[in-house]
Amino acid sequence: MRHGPIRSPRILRLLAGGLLVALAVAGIPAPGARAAGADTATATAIAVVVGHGQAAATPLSPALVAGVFARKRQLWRDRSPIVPVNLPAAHPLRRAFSRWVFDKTPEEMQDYWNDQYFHGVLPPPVLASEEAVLRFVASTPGAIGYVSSCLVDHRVDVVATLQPPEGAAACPH
Amino acid sequence: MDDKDRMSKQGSPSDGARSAPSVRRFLRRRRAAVAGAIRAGMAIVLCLAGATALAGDEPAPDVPVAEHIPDSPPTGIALAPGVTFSGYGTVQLLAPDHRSRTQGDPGRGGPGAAAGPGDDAQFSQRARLNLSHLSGIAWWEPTPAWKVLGEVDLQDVIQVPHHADGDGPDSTPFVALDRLYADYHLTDSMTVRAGKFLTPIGRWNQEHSDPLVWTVLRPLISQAAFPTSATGLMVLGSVPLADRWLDYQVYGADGGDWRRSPRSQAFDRAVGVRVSTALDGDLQLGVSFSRFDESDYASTRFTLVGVDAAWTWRRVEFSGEAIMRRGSNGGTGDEDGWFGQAVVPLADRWWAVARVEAYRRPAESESARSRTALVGLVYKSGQHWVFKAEWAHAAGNADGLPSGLLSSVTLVY
Repeated sequence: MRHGPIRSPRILRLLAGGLLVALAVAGIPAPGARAAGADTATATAIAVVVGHGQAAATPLSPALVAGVFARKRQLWRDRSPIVPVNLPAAHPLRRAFSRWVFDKTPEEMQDYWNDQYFHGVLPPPVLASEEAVLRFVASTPGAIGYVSSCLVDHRVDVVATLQPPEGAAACPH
Repeated sequence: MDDKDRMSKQGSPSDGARSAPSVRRFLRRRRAAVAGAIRAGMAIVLCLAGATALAGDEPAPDVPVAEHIPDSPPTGIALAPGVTFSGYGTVQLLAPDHRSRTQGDPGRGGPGAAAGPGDDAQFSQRARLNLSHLSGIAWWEPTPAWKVLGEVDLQDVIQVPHHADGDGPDSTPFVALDRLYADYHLTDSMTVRAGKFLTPIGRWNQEHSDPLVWTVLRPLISQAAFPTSATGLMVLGSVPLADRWLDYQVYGADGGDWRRSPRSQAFDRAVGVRVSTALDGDLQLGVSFSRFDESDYASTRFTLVGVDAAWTWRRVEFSGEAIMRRGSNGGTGDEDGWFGQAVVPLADRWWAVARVEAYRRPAESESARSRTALVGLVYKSGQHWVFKAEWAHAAGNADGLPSGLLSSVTLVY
């Protein structure tokens, strides 16, 4: 049985359209809102490190660092696997790293990782501390992590340094 | 795939006019197919697990063990080193608006063919509790350069009230092979994919899984104007572009769709490309182009162009897509449409969503246009389940488009 065209309830269309506009207005960030975020408060430089003497590791641009930690880049030049590791989401350095590299907080990256999950891509695993990152990176072929630049020692090589906007402060450790 | 995924075959021999003996044969075949697919899936998983069980990669005792953070995306079930299993299940509670129309649009697929996704007669006629999806995704990474991924989706496994014979093929359970492909990382910025994959047109189609989308109802333009999957070859990757990344996908298919769903169209032949990038981290833009022949349109070649955008700021998201499809036979099969969607947080884990969509189906008159408006609520739990409730209304020439209250609970595992 075929019916004639439905009359559109204009009230619903107006409601949905109005809500769209209202949401758009509500969602527009105030100028400078991001710059005021607390996650950029960490001022120490961040060193992106790999194990000492790893032949495949070469200096990485900020975009490549982002690609590695977003799992867009999964192989070193010698086709060995890249093994990125993160700090916990609440760690100040992780939050600063995420802000500087992705322009998002770890929480804001959740949707990205949810999407990737359904394509068989998992986020970098997490280590509890910067010392744990140093130990893991130093002893795991292909591993890459990040620590405060003042904690870099002979166990690792620096492949990128992310400078905070207003220069590095004294090492917080 | 949701209710809105459906592309029913009204008027086909499998409709309500089927005789009782043929219905029994049909159900027997369906049950056998379901059981066979489940057995095959389990065998594949067990083989993958067995093949990699010997390839253990234990870290040195003094090396810290990496963990996954709480409230992180789900990390799947590690069946063995290199083998991960995941998936999701969705239960829908649908309370249709009785003013909804019940017939399909003859424009889709030619005269007398199905209207499009969501064109489910029983959806429009009665309330239903439905285990709409039970999806299993497994991937195996035997080496850093290789990955094999498969996704099987048991659709409409359980329905209360149970589907009736007269509901047609859309209301019967179906074991869908959503994806099955092998990836080989040719270079760091180029991967070759062979098998069945989701058609890279727009954002929604490639991220259509229930846990990823904000609404129960899927926009028409994300599926009605093109087959949602293709079996063939794809080259994909990401290349640095200034300080951003440009993602690309180039694909080709030459028919032979693996386990074609009765609820979707299939390519006879297709070539296409999609590029997308994120500007300033918040704004994602994508452009899709495809030329294809569709199995239900004889001697018509289609050209499709699509654009999509998503802007996110903190927990706010605005997104939209638009497509335009043109056929080679002077207007036959021309389709175009767009949607805009807004999502804003209301509380810690609550969001409000609103969407409007317009779509023009193949026909020569203005009445072939349909419009859909939707408002809803979404709750995303930290334990990987999602609740959605929305009220949709379809207007214009909205044959078969769902109207009413749609809700679902999805659990990710």
